[in-house]
Amino acid sequence: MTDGTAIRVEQVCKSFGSVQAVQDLDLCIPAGCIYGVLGPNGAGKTTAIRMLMDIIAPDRGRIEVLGETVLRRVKDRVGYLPEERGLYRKMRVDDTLKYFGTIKGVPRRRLRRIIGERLREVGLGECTARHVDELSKGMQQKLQFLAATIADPDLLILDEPFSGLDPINLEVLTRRILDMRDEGRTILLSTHMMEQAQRLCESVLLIHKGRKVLDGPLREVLRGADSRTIILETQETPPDLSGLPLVQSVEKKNRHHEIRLAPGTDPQDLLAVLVGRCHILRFEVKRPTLHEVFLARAGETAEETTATAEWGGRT
Amino acid sequence: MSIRKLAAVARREYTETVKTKAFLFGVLLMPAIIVGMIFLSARMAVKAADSDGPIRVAVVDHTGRVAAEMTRLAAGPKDAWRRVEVEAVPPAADRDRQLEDLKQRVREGSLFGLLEVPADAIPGKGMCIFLLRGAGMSEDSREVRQLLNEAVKRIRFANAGLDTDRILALSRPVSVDQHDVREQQGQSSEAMANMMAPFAFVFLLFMSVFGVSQGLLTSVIEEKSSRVVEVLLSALSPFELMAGKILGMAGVGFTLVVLWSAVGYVAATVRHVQYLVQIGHLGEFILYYVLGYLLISSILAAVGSACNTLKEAQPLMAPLTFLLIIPLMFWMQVVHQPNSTLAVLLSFVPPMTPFIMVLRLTSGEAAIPSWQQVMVPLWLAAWVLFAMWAAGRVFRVGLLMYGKPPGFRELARWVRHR
Repeated sequence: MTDGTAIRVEQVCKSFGSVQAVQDLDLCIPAGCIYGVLGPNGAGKTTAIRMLMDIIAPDRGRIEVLGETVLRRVKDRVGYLPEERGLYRKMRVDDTLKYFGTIKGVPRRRLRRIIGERLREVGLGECTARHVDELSKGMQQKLQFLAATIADPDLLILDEPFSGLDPINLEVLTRRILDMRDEGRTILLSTHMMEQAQRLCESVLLIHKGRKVLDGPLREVLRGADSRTIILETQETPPDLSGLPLVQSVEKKNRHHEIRLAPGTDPQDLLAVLVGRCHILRFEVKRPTLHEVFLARAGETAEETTATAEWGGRT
Repeated sequence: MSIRKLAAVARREYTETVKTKAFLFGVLLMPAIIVGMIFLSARMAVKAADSDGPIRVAVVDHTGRVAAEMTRLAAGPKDAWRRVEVEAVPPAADRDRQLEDLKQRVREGSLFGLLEVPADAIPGKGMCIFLLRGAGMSEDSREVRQLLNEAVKRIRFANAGLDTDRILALSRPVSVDQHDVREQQGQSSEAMANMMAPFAFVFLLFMSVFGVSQGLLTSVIEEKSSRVVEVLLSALSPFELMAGKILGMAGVGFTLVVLWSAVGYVAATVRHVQYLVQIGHLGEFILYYVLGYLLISSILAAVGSACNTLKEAQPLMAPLTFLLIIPLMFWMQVVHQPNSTLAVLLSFVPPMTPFIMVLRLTSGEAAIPSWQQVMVPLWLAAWVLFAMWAAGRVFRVGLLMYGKPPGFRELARWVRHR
């Protein structure tokens, strides 16, 4: 891990036939953080990750992982939980971990020691001798996570680790990820679940249509987005604001109204208009979420409708 | 390439395969076929006797002399008829009823057969009737017929006032000791049995090579469809994965062949036809087994990597299956004329090579020219290397391809790709 950088990607391109999956991607992921790669389905996340894992080769560009450009040399130091993941259904739980550990280069003696321990940590202690196909879906997902982390990787790449998890198991997994970060490991988290990303990641990369939309520390990404949505709650029905030039749209919610301001408007101007015209109970500049930031930025590439549709369906 | 990882893949492939029902089925089914074939060829090799027990025959004698003569001869010094027990039955008034009663005893098995000798049998006018269970050409039935013949002949000689013993002594057959030049221990020629041996060998080869390779195909498809494959690729190179799987399944094949051979050898020993197992060609047999397995398993590994279900794999496998059936179709010709143009030509068509060569080697009709003994394995080995290389290429691309299975043109593109 030279100069504290876990992953460095420069000008990487990959296309399949006529489809440009990843275009001119630049990336620098510092070691020891949780880094989110966010984007809708088909954005190029999985392709980018597969290139990092040396599963497919880039058409062009340079990739450096844990200070190595010959990626197969670091394979054993990188844990990977792919989006398309599975287990051998007929295999025993402990045999599964033993197998994945062995092909990741973990010594047999160490495996014998840690397997039971790891299973207990995620609540699978009772399942050691059971076959994989006897486990519930959530248990299988935890087992997959254990398999990906059995070699205690310096870099852990998780592609959609939370999909299909119930809240309890989600919590277990989140806890494990945070623990690993605290141990100084780097975690690359690819997801389209914005809430999880916002909660876990210190830095994010937004990717859309194979291109980087923006990246940086989460706080900066959120601060950079302009806040044009106001939450207004009044005692009585508020006056009709939709005619005002500084208001773009008004949407009535359950107990409040969400007012979208015209571009470049200062929320204070709206407040000034409202004062004296109604009894204000709540006036709040809504903090943008990653979701909104992404929609706003991806919208600039004139693909808003598709992006919205895909987000809406999955988040 | 890491040997430890490769070995881990091979070990998993082996242990998980031998636990499956398909393996158990293969282990049990094939020996049943082997035993069946050995017993069949032993039967075809016309042996001295069908059984060791007495051959009890009821003789309904209308001449009043034949049955007694047969009894005398059977009890006599000559070995050949020792086992025949003659039960002389005087003809009853109701002939049909009597015959029916006796037939019933034949059906029940208390009698081997029923012989009816008509009154004019001695001059040779009347036809004797011989009723028995099953096909009539067994060794036991031949003994009974010979005994009848001998008895009638002796009565005729006596009737003519000739010295029977003198005539028989003068007309004794010339002894001929017949040998098959191919056999070391000098057993007598048993052509049918020897035809079966090459077929059995090729069948064994076919079943284990093709059966095990198909197991490999299934296992690759399973890894793809259960989506384990990408996890594997995060730890292994595609080549390590493919080589490990091929090696593991080779172990499965080896286990099968050893088990089958053991059963075959025991069965052959029990039936006294162990000379059918020609140890002399063991080296070549192993050579062609290994090369054939590597060739076919690489092809099927590639096919498996390109498909998501077994059904999708069928059209891609069809040409290979067809090529592999040809040796089984032509086995007779190849065994009869191991150096015919057909046999030599087929020897150089890669997927068939191991099978045709094993047929030619075990046929024993003629030695294979030495240039072919050298060239054919080299030629095959070259194809094995090519197949493994091309399969590796296809494997690498195919593993992560989901959706419509590729055609042959697409596969060729994957091989050429970078």
